[in-house]
Amino acid sequence: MTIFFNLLAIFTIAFAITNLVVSIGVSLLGQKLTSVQLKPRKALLWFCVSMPWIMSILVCLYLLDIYVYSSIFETKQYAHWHHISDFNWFSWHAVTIILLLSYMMFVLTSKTRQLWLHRQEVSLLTCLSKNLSRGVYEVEIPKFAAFTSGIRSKKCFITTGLLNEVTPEELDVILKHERAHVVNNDPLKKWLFSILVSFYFAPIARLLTLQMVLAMEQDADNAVLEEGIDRIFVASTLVKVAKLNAQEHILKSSALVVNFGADVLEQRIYFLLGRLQLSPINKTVAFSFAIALFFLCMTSLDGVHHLIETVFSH
Amino acid sequence: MNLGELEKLVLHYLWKHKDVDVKQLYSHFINVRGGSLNTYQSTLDRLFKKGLLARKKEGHAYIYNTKVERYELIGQLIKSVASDFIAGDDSSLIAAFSSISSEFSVDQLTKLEQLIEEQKKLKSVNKD
Repeated sequence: MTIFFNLLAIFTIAFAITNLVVSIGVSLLGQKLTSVQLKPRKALLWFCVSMPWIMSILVCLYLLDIYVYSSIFETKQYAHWHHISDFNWFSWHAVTIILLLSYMMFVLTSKTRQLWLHRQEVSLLTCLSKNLSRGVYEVEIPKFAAFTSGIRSKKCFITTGLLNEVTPEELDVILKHERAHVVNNDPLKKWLFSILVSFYFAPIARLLTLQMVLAMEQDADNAVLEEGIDRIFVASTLVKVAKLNAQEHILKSSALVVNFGADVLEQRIYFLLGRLQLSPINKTVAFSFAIALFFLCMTSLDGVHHLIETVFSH
Repeated sequence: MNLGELEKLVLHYLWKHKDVDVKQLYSHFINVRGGSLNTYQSTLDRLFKKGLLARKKEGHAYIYNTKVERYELIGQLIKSVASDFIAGDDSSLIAAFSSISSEFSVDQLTKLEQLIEEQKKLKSVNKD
């Protein structure tokens, strides 16, 4: 059990180191992500949010392996933990473990609650809507919105207000876009991403979420283009719907507009009009970064350990 | 929250009629779809427990009303499920065609429309 608790403390430190390094990387290069091709960009974003988990597990497994099969902890070479066989509950180790586990519990509970409430609301909305075709529901309300929701059984909702304002061709674009979200399983992926991103500081989490939402939307737009629909027509439909559903929120001064939706809309239009030069990602650089991060975690583990112990006792 | 067929019918009836007791409801539905008084009483109870109805006691009977109007309820539900982009964070679990609650500026939308127009002109010039 002592080994298990020490490994948990190691996990916590490796998690914090990886989180910090990825956060620095994202804050320096995050804006450049918009110029990366869609699929590699999505993969890179998943890689970023899952990196603290992957690295911490790998470091724990590696240290467990060498603990079982060698005496590296005693020799203090390379990577070690200088008291792997001792664990005191009245120490900073226990505090870090309790903090991490408590935060994990908090995130899981709040996200599960969010999902449960969301399911309740979606099923009530489904009950109050008119089934137009398989998986498409009309919400009888004079507002302008179209969205896809649902984790297991996914549904596309479109409001009567929007149905009355768009032409059949524009409706086709909207439905093809929403069906692409269904095929890509985007509501579930958004939920999972929101759990993983919760372990980052708010500005980094916001940047990563913005990039993921943008990538998902561009991917769905791309699916519409792949069906042979003109890109300018898709772009003008998007602006038309944005204008309609923003009617109640429209602002005269652009100085006040620094929001998520506006940024996403602008990027999607540039993407649809082919004004963005998207480049592939350098896999060697990404892989080398992961390897370097692993070694950084391994080598700095006991250093961080000692650094903490300059302030706190065991 | 799921609503059964009868629950939906009762809710729709209550959106059209105010201050309804179980006997009024029963006398309306007996000709439309049958069922017993108890069925309607338990349907009203379920809707009350789901927070969709309000009730007050008058004599021995409860008088029911809907808590919110139909459009109001749908509006609240949409606002809640699409709580995207509010406070600069996308915490919603939906994927919307265009953000439902974002604030766009006139300048921003005009600029995007101009961009699309330019692209259309460029396309027609290239065609010619």
